[in-house]
Amino acid sequence: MTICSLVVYAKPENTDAVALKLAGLAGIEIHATDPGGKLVVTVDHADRRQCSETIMGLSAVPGVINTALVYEYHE
Amino acid sequence: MSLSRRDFIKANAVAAAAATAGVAVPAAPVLAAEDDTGIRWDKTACRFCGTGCSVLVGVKDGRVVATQGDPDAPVNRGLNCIKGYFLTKIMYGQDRLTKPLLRKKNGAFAKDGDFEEVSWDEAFTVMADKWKAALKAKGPTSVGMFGSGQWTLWEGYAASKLIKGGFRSNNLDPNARHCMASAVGAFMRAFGIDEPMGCYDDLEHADAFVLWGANMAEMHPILWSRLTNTRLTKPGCEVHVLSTFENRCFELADNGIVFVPQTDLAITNYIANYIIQNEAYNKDFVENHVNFNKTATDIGYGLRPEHPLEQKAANPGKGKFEKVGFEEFARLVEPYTLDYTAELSGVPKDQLEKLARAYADPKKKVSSYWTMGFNQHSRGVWVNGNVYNIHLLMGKISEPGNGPFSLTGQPSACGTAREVGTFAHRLPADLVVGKDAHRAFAEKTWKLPEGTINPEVGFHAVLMHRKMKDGELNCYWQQCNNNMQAAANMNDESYPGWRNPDNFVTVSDPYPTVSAMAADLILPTAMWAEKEGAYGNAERRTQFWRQQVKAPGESRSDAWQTMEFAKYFTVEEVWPEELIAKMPEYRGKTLYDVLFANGQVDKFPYEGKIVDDRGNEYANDESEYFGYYVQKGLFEEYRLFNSAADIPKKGHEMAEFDAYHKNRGLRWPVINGKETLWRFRGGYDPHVEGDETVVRFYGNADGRANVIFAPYEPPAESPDDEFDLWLCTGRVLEHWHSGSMTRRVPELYRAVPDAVVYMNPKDARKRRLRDGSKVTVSTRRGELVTRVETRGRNRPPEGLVFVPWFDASRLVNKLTLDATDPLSKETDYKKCACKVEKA
Repeated sequence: MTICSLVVYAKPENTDAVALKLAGLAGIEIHATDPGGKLVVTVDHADRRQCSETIMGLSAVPGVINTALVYEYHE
Repeated sequence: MSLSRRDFIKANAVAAAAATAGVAVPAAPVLAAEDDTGIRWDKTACRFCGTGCSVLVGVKDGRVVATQGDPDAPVNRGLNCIKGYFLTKIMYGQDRLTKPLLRKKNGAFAKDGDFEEVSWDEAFTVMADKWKAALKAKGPTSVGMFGSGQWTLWEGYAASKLIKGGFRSNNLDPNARHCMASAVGAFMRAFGIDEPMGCYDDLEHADAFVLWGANMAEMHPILWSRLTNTRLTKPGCEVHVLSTFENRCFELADNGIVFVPQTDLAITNYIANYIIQNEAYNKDFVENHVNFNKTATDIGYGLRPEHPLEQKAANPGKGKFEKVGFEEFARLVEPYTLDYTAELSGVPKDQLEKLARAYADPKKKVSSYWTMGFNQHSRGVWVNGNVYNIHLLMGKISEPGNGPFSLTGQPSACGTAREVGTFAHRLPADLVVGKDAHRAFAEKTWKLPEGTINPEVGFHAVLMHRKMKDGELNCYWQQCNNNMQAAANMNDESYPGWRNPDNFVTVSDPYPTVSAMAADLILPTAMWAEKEGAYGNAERRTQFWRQQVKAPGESRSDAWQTMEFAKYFTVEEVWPEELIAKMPEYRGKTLYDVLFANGQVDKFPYEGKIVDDRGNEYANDESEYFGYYVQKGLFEEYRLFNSAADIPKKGHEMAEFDAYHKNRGLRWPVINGKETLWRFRGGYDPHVEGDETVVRFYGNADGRANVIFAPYEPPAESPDDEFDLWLCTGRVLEHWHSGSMTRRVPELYRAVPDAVVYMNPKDARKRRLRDGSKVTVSTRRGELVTRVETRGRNRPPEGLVFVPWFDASRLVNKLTLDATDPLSKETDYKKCACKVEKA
């Protein structure tokens, strides 16, 4: 089991569109969105490999400016 | 695992992210006390870029099992980038080296032999024999060491002592030569003292950000998140991004500028001209704090002296600049009009004006950032200086939000390469081998006889490879980097130099890199958290960490290797009799005795373990072996160069050793335990008396900074009919530098396995290529086969391609030209001419 949390940055005008795209990805939950363009996201996968591939995919989502990882737990 | 436990972990994760981002999470659960599962947590500094993030590492049963961005770290405030996420995995690659390996045939060393496992004693005995033979035949200039901006402070310091104080050779240079030597050169010319005056706090204070050849989004993601946060939350904040191709930073840019390679020299002069023409410059600041100068021009391209371009240059290598008045400076930048600059650079006029207006607006605080686009430039010192010119004209410097800032690519390029002084011309704390007083101070501090240190500047990185090829540098020891992959023009210079039968090459590395495979002796090396370490980041912050885990097999740290190797030489074998006669007490001693068991380095006892202030215990393998607290002894002796009462150059003061194990780093100068955020200004810098209205550039004797005019001059090689494209090289987010660590992390390897050639779709169509087509990229020096990428993260304009250099199976430095900035000796990896054809 791997659980990670991240902050995803989008331009404010793209926040909703980015949130919609992220919500469609497996294992991703959005816990909060900020009107300034910040999203608090968790990625939850059975194995670490899937988890990390999801995280790396986030940067490629159109409208995403940056992603930063905050917390990781794996066992 | 029960559902509730999963929910609990997730709630922890969410709360940490929300707190870091400053975002409120609806109904966030109250966090329970930290789950105690027998994990020992401690802070470390990240092993990768120069940002200097602090990462918490959790160790259980001798292995790293968890990491977290350090919430108490002022740099990254709990955040981690994707490389930081995989940080601890770099220690656990499948092919870690665990024993010394020597090329042998029939039981003896042979240059054309195969690698066989040997003991450390055999390795050092064979190596020392080679070094002694070279020293005897040709003297100190025939041996040398190539170090690293990834060395810990004490590893660099120990190496500097051994090479400069022991072997009396100045052939010590770090890979930071390829990385920020141009920034160093420009700092010294303008301010007389190295490293940025500002700090990362500018990321929150600025109103406008200008990125000059820095892809922060991929290379400094944590600083990019801080910049992004400011841009998204501060009304009126603007971001200007300049590059020779569109990169990920353009997503956020308010003014994304793609310019023709090398024309950044013209754009910077245009801005200076705009400021003067519009009388926007800060008259009071210019009057009181600035000298105006112009530099010698037509200075060549740092190629071999017989190269036609060097023969043609009027002033090859000339760095001299002369004083001119403000009027003369204004006249010199006058040709850089909007029309001329737009024509030369290919940048639309409105974009150039928008950029110039940001700098020229007295109410706007501007922070400029740059990395390799400026530094890896055949006029790198000039172009760095041109940005200082702009900031100095406006007086936008040395205060919150206003300042020019060179970002670094390595974790301790500042700390170890620059501050410790592991360059061919330097000694610790900005001292240089060329000055009598500086050498005398170093000899006194090191307790060495007068005249020990060689006054001649040693071979810089690029010259080392040329001298190896020419058979003049015969023993070469590389630690903590991968120069065979990193140095330019591998086919013509690096490889022939390393494999020259006259030469003996040693590589210390945790992994069998391209360099290791090209060496004669490979030494297995303890890395990062397998040793106690210290790094200095780009904002002058010195950070320490403790040894967290044991290195595998017989791996030893670079500090251990350097100190242990010193035991294989007696003073008589390396010093002439007249030198020994000045200190006869050293007769019969080894270099180890003289340099390390000198009553200073071995002064602090080691109690058999390191204990932190929470009672946690750690190993320290070097101290265990040598019998004293090695890191503390080396650091405290180093501090005699920057903090003792009689130091020749003030301004680099550091706190005592123990302090750094308790804090998240301090930015020097540190006086009475207090760090300095902005240098050269009263109220912030303890070396400047008075309040915040007082500015003094005390690195220069008259307290003034130098504005130095430097013109546009063309690059060494430009596209022509045959080689019709610009080739630019660089990095990608997922991999760090030559990939020797990140390519061993399965997730990162899978994400970006190979280097591709990023190309404009029109250029691809013209060559009947499609996305994914197999192609040969070639230059006058070499070729590689790869695939075309037209829709990726980098979007070059027509006429330019980009190839990253991390890929050991596609060595782009077979293609690059070893043109260097004649002043900084840093190679221009961003500009040469290539062609791309279907393979």
